[in-house]
Amino acid sequence: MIEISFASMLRILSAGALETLKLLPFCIAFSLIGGVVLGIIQSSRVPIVNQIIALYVLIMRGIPPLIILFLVFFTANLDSGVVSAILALSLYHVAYVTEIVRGGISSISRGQFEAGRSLGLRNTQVMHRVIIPQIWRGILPALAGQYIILVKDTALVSVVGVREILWSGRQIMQLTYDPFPIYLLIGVFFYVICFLLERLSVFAERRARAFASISGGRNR
Amino acid sequence: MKGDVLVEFEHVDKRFGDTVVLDDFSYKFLEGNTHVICGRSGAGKSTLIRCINFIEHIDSGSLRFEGIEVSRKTAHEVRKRVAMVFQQFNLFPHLTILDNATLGPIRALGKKRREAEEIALQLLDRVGIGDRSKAHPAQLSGGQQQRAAIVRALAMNPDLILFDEPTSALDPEMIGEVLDVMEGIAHEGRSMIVVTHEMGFAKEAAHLVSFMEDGSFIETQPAIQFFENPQHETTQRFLRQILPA
Repeated sequence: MIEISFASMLRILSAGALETLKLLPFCIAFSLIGGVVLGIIQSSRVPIVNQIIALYVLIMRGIPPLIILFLVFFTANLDSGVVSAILALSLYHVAYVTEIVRGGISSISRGQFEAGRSLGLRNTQVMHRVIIPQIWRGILPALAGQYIILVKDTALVSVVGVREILWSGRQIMQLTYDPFPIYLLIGVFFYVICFLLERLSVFAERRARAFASISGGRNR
Repeated sequence: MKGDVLVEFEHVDKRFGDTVVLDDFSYKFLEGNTHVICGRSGAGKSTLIRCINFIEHIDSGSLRFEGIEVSRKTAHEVRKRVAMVFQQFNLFPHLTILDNATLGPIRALGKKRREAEEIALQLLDRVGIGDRSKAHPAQLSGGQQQRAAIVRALAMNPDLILFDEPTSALDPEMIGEVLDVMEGIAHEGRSMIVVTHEMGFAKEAAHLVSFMEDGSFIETQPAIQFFENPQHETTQRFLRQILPA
């Protein structure tokens, strides 16, 4: 058994946290872009494609993210654990974001679509210029909740060799053989990241509400 | 040209499920006219005008705008020339009044932003809300919002403006300011089809008034004759109910 100072533990775990924080922007960006695109498609009538996406969402919702991670890592035959991790978490969370965006779009009144179309805008322009800018205020809480789950899911990717927080903690444990303080500390690290994300979402919601007070309630 | 056929319905049927909304409807709307359509709710008035810009789709028959068959394929072209004003205004709440009025001209007509804003500001001035161009819709009264929505329609410089009960969602004291604006447009000679219960507006501004029931025009007359000498019994009864004695 080897003694490791608290300062060194923090240093090692911080290195892990940095790795986690490198994954997150990619996962958030990919799942958001994918979710908005798929959510828009699901809000439009596109036969067959709608069914395929619905099936995809259904499957993703029914499989643990860990299984998806293994499937991606072993079948896509990617050398990089990091790439597998980003891909797997994005593929998993995009299904949820798709549903959140679809819900947001369906909460916008029909009159907004009609007004946009009657101006001669193409359907894509109506979405881009009229509808999507209006959904954020409504879906922000759900989106923040989803990304907090995403942060916690990053703990899984240690199994494909990504040197994130949990992986770093395990390294320490193999030297100290004292699991409790390490897992506690790992928990604290995750909590801090989630807490910051939570604050960010509260801040964004406040901004949205301040804007809402001038832009008014959503049109019926 | 004034007097040319602008919108032509030929044997148009439209159903919502089992309910027949338009029943073998045929009519020619002419250019330069202000045509008021009145009738009880459920008569098919709104559906009729919403078919013209393909917000609703006809089930059978033929509907042409400026000679173009209105269909999924042509909807985009038709909508660039047909503007619509809604009962609920349907302004875009996330955009300023000015951006509401320039979105169509810039994105659908391909106008330069500067040109579009210049036109929009002139129109906003004309309807008396030039000073509110930077405001968002929710900061305006209902009457101001509907005037802004009319500006949004006018900014497209359309060949036809459809009004779908433009004053029905307004507080009584705000109806006048909106009708004044609409009268101004009517007197300019711009083609308008107006679904409304405002008989005062019909008397003042309309060239033609139609009474609609069960998916057809029961009676269409020049405004004066429509009010002074309605031919059809149903129209007479309707007018007795709606007009103060």
